[in-house]
Amino acid sequence: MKRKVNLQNLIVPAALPLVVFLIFYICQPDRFGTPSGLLIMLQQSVIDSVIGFGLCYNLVIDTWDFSSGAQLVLAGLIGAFSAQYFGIWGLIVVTVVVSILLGSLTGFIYSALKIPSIIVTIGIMLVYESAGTLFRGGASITVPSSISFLGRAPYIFIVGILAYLLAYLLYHHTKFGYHVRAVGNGEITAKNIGINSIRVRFLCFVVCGFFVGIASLLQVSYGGAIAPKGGMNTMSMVFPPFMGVFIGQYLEKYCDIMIGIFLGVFSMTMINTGLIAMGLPGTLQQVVTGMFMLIFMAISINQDAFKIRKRKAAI
Amino acid sequence: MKKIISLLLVMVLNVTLLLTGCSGGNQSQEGNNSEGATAAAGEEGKLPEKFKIGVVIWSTVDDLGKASADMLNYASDVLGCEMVYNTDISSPESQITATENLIAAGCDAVAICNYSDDILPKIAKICEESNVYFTLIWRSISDPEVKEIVESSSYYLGNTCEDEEEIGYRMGKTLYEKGSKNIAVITMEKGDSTSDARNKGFDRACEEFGMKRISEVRNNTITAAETTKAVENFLASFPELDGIFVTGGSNTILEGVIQALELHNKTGEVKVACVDFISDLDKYIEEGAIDAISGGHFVDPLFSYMLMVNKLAGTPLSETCETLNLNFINLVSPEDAVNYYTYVEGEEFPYSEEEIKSMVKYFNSEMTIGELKEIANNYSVDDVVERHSK
Repeated sequence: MKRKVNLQNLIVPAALPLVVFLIFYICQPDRFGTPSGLLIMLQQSVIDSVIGFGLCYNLVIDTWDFSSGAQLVLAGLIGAFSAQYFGIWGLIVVTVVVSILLGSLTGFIYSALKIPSIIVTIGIMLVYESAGTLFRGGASITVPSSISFLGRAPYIFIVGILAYLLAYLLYHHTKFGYHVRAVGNGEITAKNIGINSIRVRFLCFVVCGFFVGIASLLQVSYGGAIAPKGGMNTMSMVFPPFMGVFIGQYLEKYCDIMIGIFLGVFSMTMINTGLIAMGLPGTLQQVVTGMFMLIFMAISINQDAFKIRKRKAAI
Repeated sequence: MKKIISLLLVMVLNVTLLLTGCSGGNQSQEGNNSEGATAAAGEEGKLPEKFKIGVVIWSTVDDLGKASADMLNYASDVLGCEMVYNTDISSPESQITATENLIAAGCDAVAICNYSDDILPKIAKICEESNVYFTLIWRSISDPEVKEIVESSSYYLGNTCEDEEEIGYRMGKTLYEKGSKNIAVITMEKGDSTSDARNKGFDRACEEFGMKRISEVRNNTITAAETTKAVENFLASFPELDGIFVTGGSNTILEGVIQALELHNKTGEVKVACVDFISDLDKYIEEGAIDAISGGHFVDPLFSYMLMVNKLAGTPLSETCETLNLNFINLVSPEDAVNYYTYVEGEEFPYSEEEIKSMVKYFNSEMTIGELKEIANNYSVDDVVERHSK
């Protein structure tokens, strides 16, 4: 039995990315799955995975955060501007610190107002987007290639691995992580054993801000430039990490949630790349991605209900 | 505790209001309330009334949007008018709302850069009901039914446009001449008339020269990092890729393309053609990061502006709606880029104060619609150099 469980812990997490890979590889063996292509996809998965690590803390306690994208852009703009005067350290320190401050502000407003997180974070998203378009008159900022090396291999992988290790340690081996899991499993029970759930919710936004800050400096380095976004367009930036977290939560039964998040994001990245390799028109790519999300969520949410029905039928 | 929370809430709201009130990211903003302050009505050298002109535009802070806004603000300073911009347009429908908001703000005329033809009948109706004149900038009406409806409106004064299909064709032809055969395209979603026209022209070039559109990305809000990702995906999936066509390169899109090619040592190997200028063009062209680029059409709104101003001043240039055609400026060498930024988009505007006034019949009784069309048609780097190097 123990051997079966261990095998399951290896097979199930690997199954999703493997299935996605095989589907596209079979369809386009000449274009998809080349070693250089795999490296590119892994590289592209880092930024969304790091955002996912941060969002994980909020989503575990059923808190939505739609402001992370706007936070990333605003922190990136200020960090990129600082880089013009203080070089790489300006980019790193300012981006992360600003993102933490923005996350703290979001967390404070959410904790203080006690209204649903969706409403608070959408409102905050609009504020941060506006602030981004007001900063320096809304001009985009370019960073020189000499300081944008963090967006390239191997540095992007080094930062990604360090972010994973930090997220893992924080989630599994600290009191804060324990409190997050406790609140996520039942807030009333957590309160009854003396956990301050309001403080936990606030700190989740602060921690999310830290990881979003790291993702922001990687994003600026990767693109070489950053431009403000308005009209709620930053919301679409958090959907791939959200999917990563949902997949991670599903895979938590078999592997570490942070590994699950990465596998989820990597799978989504392979789908995007695979659709391009298949030559699908741009408009259809989004349809396929959306359908994948719906199918996966439908299966994972209804899986337990299906098992119960099957057991009842067997009886 | 409640007092502290209330105090903090008030502070947050005040900061928010301060930020949104300071300047206009997505909001209407006065374009020329700067050191060149507008003159009072009837002041010598200015129009008899301080007309308020509204502009519905995607942005006034990206390279193209800012250059256009600066040009219009300068013209308004010269003529004694007032500019109001509304950049709160994330979709065709929001452009209708933006137009209504400008009219509600007291605009006497509105210039619109419409995403699609579908909204124009509604805009024509709104303008008719409000007695506000309107023109199109950077756009022509391709739908014949819409064209008939809009052109029958007495409040529609006309449009300024470039031959978008021709520029798409020219970009494709240039890529072919540079040796490209397998090209990926970064463009906007279908429904944007400018992008659709450029794509159509490009596809015509592909058919004529035997090139292939091997992949594409369509996204209206793409910026640098997403573009870098898209180009990396092209490179990973299509080893035969040897050309990239960007139908609109502003807002860090072209920078993202250049970054991706540099990351994978493909600069110069994969040819890049783009419409819309960005900063540091001379450097990028010299490095071989850009092989063909067209743009410089920031003066387009000026000509639609002149249609409106002439009408409002009581000296209309024409009794019917008019179309003014403008040429793109093509840059193929670093010297071209240096000349462009020296003479066209430099410290001085491509049209001087005297030249701007001469476009208004109130100041120049000999101005005709034919002459205005000729001025627009002659627009080029050589034209500006010839006029301003005397």
